[in-house]
Amino acid sequence: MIWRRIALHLKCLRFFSFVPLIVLFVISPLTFIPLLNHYGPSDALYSFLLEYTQTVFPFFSVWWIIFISREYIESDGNELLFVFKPRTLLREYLILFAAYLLCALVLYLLLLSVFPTALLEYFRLICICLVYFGISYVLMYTTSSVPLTVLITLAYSLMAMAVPSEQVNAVFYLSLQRFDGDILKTVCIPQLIIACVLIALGCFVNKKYIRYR
Amino acid sequence: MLKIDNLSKKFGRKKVINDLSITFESGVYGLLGPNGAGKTTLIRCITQLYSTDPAAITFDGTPVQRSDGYLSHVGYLPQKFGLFRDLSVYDAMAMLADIKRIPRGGIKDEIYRCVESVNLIDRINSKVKTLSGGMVKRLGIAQALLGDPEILIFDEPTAGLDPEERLRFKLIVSKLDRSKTVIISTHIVSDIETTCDRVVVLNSGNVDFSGSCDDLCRVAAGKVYVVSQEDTKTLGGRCFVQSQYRDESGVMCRILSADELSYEKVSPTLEDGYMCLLKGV
Repeated sequence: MIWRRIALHLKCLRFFSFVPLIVLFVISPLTFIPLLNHYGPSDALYSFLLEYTQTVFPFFSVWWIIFISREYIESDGNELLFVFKPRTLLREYLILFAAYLLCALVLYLLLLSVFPTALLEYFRLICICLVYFGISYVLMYTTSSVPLTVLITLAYSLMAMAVPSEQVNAVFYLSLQRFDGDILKTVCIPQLIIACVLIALGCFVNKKYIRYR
Repeated sequence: MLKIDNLSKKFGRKKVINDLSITFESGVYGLLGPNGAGKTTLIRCITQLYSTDPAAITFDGTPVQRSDGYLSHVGYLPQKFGLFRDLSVYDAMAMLADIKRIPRGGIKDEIYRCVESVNLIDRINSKVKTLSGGMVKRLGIAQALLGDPEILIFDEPTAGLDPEERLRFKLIVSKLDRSKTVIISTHIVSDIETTCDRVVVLNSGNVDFSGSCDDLCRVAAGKVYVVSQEDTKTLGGRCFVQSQYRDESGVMCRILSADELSYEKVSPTLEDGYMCLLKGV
């Protein structure tokens, strides 16, 4: 039943449901392949890859989650959707989030042929995306606004790009340093903890949500 | 049977429902009250959208919070309904059937049954956003009927509808199985006049009246007069002008007054009884 529900949610999004797939399978290859042809598997290309995947991919990892929530937080009569249990959409969100990560995995598996450490970078991406998941989950049910959630999430990804960190941390995470033990300790593990807290908080505010239209 | 015992609900310091007790058995109930009376809050308590004291609301003797299957017995149409506008009528119904956990087997027949009962079958493949306001409301009624629930709750179901759609709603309600408990919340008395067996009047979170439509009419017995508009000026604060209309004599007023007046008394209507309660006549 949950698969049918997810399929209908995505059908409701119309063209918007394809945006993450277009980003992953059209825009990203079209961006990356010419650079690969020009620079080869070099450090410069690796740096670009890190910057690109750490800013673009996390934002689109929560695209489906945010937009399927529109009916629940912005539509007239949204209270009807909260009458029946479960009141939270966590299962749907996790499935869609996992689907996005699986699609991203395809790209990283292809990148393995160019950069042998691609899967480690994929792990880094998962940690960043989980933080975005938590942030957007909390924002949706506290702001009751999809546009505001998108704006704040986008602002965060731009901030991560624009704020240079002398020392990377879990919040301002953008780093051009290849994945190593330092990145795991100082960025990834704290991000996993932050993500768990945010997702739990998101569940809480989702369950307590009573801003009915 | 849905029983509400000493239900209170407040938001911050504002008490919206005040120690309310009422029993809904089978039949059609009109829940009347002015804006802000607590009708929607009461409905949201019944549908567990707002948390309540554990023993305040029981269904067939079991507190609803402890009854796992309670919500499967409830069909609800909220005051505003505009969900899944980019889906077709069929898909929107399928989505809501899924959310309501209606068993998958026979769901197609169930959707068709409900859509047919509200005369929307010819638009079943149309997108919800292409429907008129009245049709969207009918879709809302159809989704409330999914699963054939024992309790049906309609919150202001005719708000914004034209006379034809209001009549259509009354016809739909009249065809419902009388063994169900149907609660129609409204501030429009004419909505319930011909459809409801019993009326509950809420005001400021309290039950001002509970009884049959005839009983509510009797509240205004001997208090309803028809006078000319000119005469109302001489009466001043001794009366409440219920309505005005024009006839051959000019503009006439239907007034409510507890005083014995020398004007023509008329038989009270449901609206007269309701206004007497609200205005304290």
